[in-house]
Order: sequence, then C-alpha cells, then structure tokens
Amino acid sequence: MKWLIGAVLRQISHWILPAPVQARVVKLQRQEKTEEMRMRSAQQFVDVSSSVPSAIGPAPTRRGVLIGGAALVGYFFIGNSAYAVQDALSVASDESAFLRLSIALTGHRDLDGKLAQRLFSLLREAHLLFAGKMEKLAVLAESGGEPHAILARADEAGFKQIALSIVAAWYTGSAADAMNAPMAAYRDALMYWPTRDGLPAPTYCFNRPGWWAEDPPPLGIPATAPGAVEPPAPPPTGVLSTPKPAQTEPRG
Amino acid sequence: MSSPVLASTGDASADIVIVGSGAVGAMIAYELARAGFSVLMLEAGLRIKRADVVENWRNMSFYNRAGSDFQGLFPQAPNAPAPLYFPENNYVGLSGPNGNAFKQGYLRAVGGTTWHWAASCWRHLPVDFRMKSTYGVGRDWAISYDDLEPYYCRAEEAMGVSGPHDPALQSPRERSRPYPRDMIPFSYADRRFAEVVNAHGYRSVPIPQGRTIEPWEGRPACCGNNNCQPICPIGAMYNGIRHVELAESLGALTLDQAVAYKVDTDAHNRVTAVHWYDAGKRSHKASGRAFVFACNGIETPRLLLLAANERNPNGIANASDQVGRNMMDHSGLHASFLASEPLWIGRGPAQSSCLVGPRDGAFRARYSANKIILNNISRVPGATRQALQLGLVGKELDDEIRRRSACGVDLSISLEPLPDPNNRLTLSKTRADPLGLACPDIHYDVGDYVRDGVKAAHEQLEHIASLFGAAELKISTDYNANNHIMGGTIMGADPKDSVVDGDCRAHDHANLWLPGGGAMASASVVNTTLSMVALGLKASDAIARQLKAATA
Repeated sequence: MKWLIGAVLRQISHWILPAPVQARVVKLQRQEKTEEMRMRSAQQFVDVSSSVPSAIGPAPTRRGVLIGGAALVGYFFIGNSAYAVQDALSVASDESAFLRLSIALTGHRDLDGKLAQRLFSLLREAHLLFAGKMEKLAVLAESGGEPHAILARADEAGFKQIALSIVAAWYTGSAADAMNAPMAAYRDALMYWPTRDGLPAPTYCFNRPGWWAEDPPPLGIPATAPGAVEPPAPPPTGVLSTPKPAQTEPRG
Repeated sequence: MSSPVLASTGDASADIVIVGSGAVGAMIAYELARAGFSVLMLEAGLRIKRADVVENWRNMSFYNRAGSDFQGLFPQAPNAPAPLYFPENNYVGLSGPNGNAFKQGYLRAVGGTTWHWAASCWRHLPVDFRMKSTYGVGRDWAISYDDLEPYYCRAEEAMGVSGPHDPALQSPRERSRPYPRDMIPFSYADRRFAEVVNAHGYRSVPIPQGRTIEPWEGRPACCGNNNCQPICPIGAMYNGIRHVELAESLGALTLDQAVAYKVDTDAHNRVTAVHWYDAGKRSHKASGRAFVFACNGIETPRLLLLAANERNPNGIANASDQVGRNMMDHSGLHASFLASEPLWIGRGPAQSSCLVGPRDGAFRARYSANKIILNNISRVPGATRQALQLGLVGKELDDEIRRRSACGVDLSISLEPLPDPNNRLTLSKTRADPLGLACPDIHYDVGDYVRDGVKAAHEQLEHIASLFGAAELKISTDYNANNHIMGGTIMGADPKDSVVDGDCRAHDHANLWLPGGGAMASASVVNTTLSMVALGLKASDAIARQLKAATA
C-alpha cells in the first residue's frame, strides 16, 4: 500500500512540481545505493575482547530511505503550499545562478543543467551558508573576465576557497574529496574533458578493436611547465591508498 | 553427467567437495565434472552481478576511486566478510614491522578474486622452483618447472591467455606449447618506454594476459576499457565465474553463502565431511570421497586452523605446525614521475608491459629480484587532484590535467620475499565474524632480503626516470600489498616442514588437496594466479587418478 501511495505521489509530482524539485526527489532515490555502500563499509571488526560476535551495528534500511523520500514528496502536498512554492522558486533561482557562476569559474560554456542541480545540492550540504557565499561570488563574476581573473577577485574578497570548491566539484563530480562522499557524476565530471581525444573515461572505450595501438593525439601544449609549483605526489594507481584529500573548506 | 545429492535436511554428498569457487576451485570443479564425477562447491560469499558492480564503481566517491578502493564496490555476504579499507573493517588483524604491507584485497564471492584482478598470467622461472639449491636462500619446491609446465599450458588455454609468440619477448622462454593467442598489442606508451629503456638492459616484455583482442569462446574482445581492476565492465577478462558456469553446465552444484567451518576425519585421518553454515546460520554437512580447500592464501589456512578436531588438535593438515606460516606477498613499491614527453598512459587494458631485466641473476643469493610494471591505469584522477591542489582554474586547469595525464608515469615494483615461518597467520582471540568464527591475524616482516632488494630497485628507478628527463620522481616509502598471497600451506618434500606435497595433497590427509597460492614455496616476482591455477589442474589430475584407482 505504501508502495502504491509512493508511486501515485511520484506521478503527481511529475505533473505539478517544478523541475528542480523533481530532480531532488530523483536524486534522493539515486543516492540510496551510495548510502547503502557507505553504511556497509562502516562495519567494523572492533577489537572487543569481551564479546565474541563482531561489533556490527544495525544498518539503516532501504525502506527508511524510501520513507524519507516519500515524506519529502508529501511535504509539498500536505505542508503549507505557499511556502513550498516559494521554496521551490527560490531553489530554482539559486540553481540557475549556480550554473551561470559555474560557467564563469570553469570557462566551460556547455555545462549540463541537470548536473548543476545535483552539484548545487551536494555543495549546499557540504558547506555552511553556501547559498549566501555563492550569491556574493556571483556578483564578483558578473563583471566578466577569464576564470583566473574572477578567481583573483574572489581571493581579494575572501571567497577563493569556495570558488575553488565549486570548480573542484565540477571536475571530480562530487562536493568533497572525502571517503565515501556522495557523487553527482562519473563520466560527465570535467576531469575527463581535457583528455577526451586520447583517453576514454575508464569503463568506457573508443569502440574500435585494438584502438589503443594507434598513435595518441598530439599533446598540443608544452610537455613541461617551468617554474610550476610541485603539488603533493599523486596516489599510486592500482594499489590501495588513502591519500589526504585536497583542501576543502571545513563544514560548520 | 553426475550431480551431488542434496538431502531434505540440507546435507549434501558428492564425489568431490570443493570449498571456494574462485579460479582454482572452479577450474578443478570443471575438470572433475568433465571427468564424470559429482562435484559440490561451497562458496562463503554471494553470487554477484557484473552490472551491479560496474554501477557501484561509477557511483563510488572520487576519493575512494583515486585511492584504488577495489573492495568496497563488491557486495559482501553478511556472514562472510572480506577486508574493507574505506574505512578499515579490521577483519584481518595486522602486526609486525611490516603489518601494513599486508593489507590484502581479496573477495569472497562466487568466481572469487578474479572479479577484480588485472589478468596478468605469468609463469615462474625454472630457477624459481630451486631457490635453495641454486642461490642458497628460501626453499625448493617439491616439483620442478618441467613438472608444472604442461599444467601452465593447460591453464593458459583454459583462461584464453594472450602472450607473445616471439620467444625473445617471453619470460620464461621454456614452453612446450605456444600461447593460445599472440600478445595484446602494445600502446604507444609501451612502445616508447621499451625503446628508451631496453638499451639499458631493462628488457620490456608484454605481460601475458587473460583476455583476447578478438572474441574467444563466447567471451567478447577486449575493448580497452582500462578498468580491469576493479571490474571489467564487459566480461572480456578471464574470471573464475566462467568455470563455475561451465562446471554447473556439467552437473556441478554451487551453494553460495555457505561458510565451511568444521571438518570430520576418520581413524585413518581421511576427511569424511565438511560442515557449513547457510545464510540462516543453520549447520549442514557435505560428505565426499575427496575434498579440496581452494579459498586463497588467507581463508584456506584460517579454515584449517578453525577446523581443529580431536585427532588434529593444532588444526587440519597441521602436524608440521606450518599451516599459516611462511605468509608471503610481493610487497611492492610505486614510483611516479612526469616524463618530459607525452606517453599517454591509460590507453588499453590496465596492464600491458613490464620490465623483467631485474627478474633473475646471481644477485638473488643476496637480495630480492624485482619486476617493474608500466602501470597502464589512467592517470586522470591523480592528475586532476594534483592540478586542483595547485589552485588552477579555466584553461590553465585543463592544460595541467592534460599535461599530467599524458606525461605522468606510475611504475609498480614487485619484490620477492623469502618464506619465513615467523610470518604467520593465526586465529584472533578477540575478533570474530558474524558467525562467531575467529578472524585471521597476520604478523608480517618483509625481511632484509627484500629491504636490500629495495636499494637496488631505487637505483634502477632513478635511472629509468632520468632516461625520461623526469620531474617530480616520487618513490613510495611504505610497502604496498599486491594481493598475491602465498605460503600459508607451503609445499615441500618433507612432511615435517611442509603442509602439502607436489600435487598439493595434504601430507596428513590422503584425500584432502589444498591447491593455490598457499602451496607456493617461492614467490618469484610475478603475479600468482596462473601458477595457482596450474597447481589446481595438477591437483585435479591427481584427484581423478586417485578416485578412479579406488573405484577400479
């Protein structure tokens, strides 16, 4: 019965709710799997000499997450509809501002609107008062210029870290370089764009037998960058490592 | 066609009971089912779906993917945990000077850890079987390379291995039959790397791989998805699930979520039954004529110790006290640098070429050999993290990612530990799995033989980096695990100091076989799976011979 109500609510929500709100509901459902994985990997074999069975706590259930999702949908119907509509409109406005700001900061004009919604939502969860900081950044970006020029203005105004967090989110597909952080994108993460003429995103391929034996594309930029600051070593590929994440603004 | 008998109580009986359904167990199941025997496989883990695992990987956080979390994407049976590291679940307790070097990634699932291997199918060198008599270190095997060579051929044929037909590119060159398919073609990076380093004796060769570039016996052609680890998205890479399914088509039965924990033995110390818990923790008994424990290098010794009984108080097959000792892995290093020219690592399968020049030599009397893999896993995530750490945006960020991805190199160096009885797996007194069965503890010290080998490796790595005008050369300071788990049920001619004989049959039990990495008496520097499967096929022949002789 709960299933039926949920299905009906979802259908109705498609007719009535503004697109950004719909996307949020969909995202909640998408996040179930990630959530399950995160909870499962939290199982620990704690060294407890007193008890014999391992200390595995109860995992939150799928149902719990689903009920949460249904409650969110319900809120828009049962709750104060005037507030709901206002909220939704405000979210939609923030999201389009976020997309414009992202284009300015990354220099990529063809960013995906759906992905912008997801990243905006994750960034709001990851950073305190994100929407407010974003608004101020957006004002700084309005006067135009290359991304590095906007970043310089952001730096002067004390918003460099939040600007870099937005850029990092687009490149990594996530709001945080942190263990089990929720993801918004895999193949569509911008990190794969600069090499997409030579390297398919792993799990995908160029769909020609033995394509890798062909010569790669020309690099097109200098192979060495004189005077560049040396970043920390990259994680070794193919072996377990738990590197320190890139600096992100602490939450709260 | 013969099948196991399942009683209404849930107990089972079969000619052969195999614990473990990975590449070794499944291949034996197939061989013996093909010979007309009834075969039961007990698998502690789940039967998983490739598509789910691919989706889990794509949904996994950037941090976990950049840190090579190859465990967390595989669903685990609630009663059969395997190591997890993001965060650590401490299923395996590690101690000793190099305990951290033994953080192994292995799966408990139908099909086993070949779900997330890289399909490197190396043979040991002939001399690797005679380390003690040739170099005065380590141990000799109970068998020679020549004894195992026909089984290496069969393993390559069963797994559809592509390896160099040109003898100049083979390591070792001693072969009685060609590889089933010629080498996987080199990418530009492999060609260029070989061109630069070969003049200095490093000897770049193609890695023999369990995949093919045209469809092979129902398996699709490799399309270079560059994701062999942790999951081939298209099933082009060999995986134990293939032989699970082939065995099942011939009548073999696989029970998943079946955790073996107890062994019955008779007055002659023959194994008569294995007991297992099902998913609801109900205990059942599998009776058989022959038994195989093929649970890889950690779970097999753990099971033998867990199953100690009145007649075998130190554990099954453990009269020698060697079960769980001599634990080995190719404790390794990684070296990364930026070449002064683009190489475009990350095109094609994850492993492609390897330097085997330092694989053998008189120096092995004093210190460890090594092999140096040109790691072909895409550099993009690591390059991206670095470029972001530099605080770049816009075109500068894109260019930096492109430059670091195209010019970045990661070398994976494997070293050879010697078998040391003090490197030991024991049962935890304080931690247990959800069934109440003790978790494994492992004490590990790589030993001076490896430490001295690292010094030689450092010189080689610095030299190779200089040949590429390298910047930012970084050589890891901690040893990393390579998941090539060996030694815990070590092979030897003398039952007093070894666990199994040349057929991987337990010295203590005439009808129990323990094939796989645990039997390997020397590590060499090469990935273990092909040797494990070859040992499994040799055991399988011995089992068939013994059962037929008993029936005749």
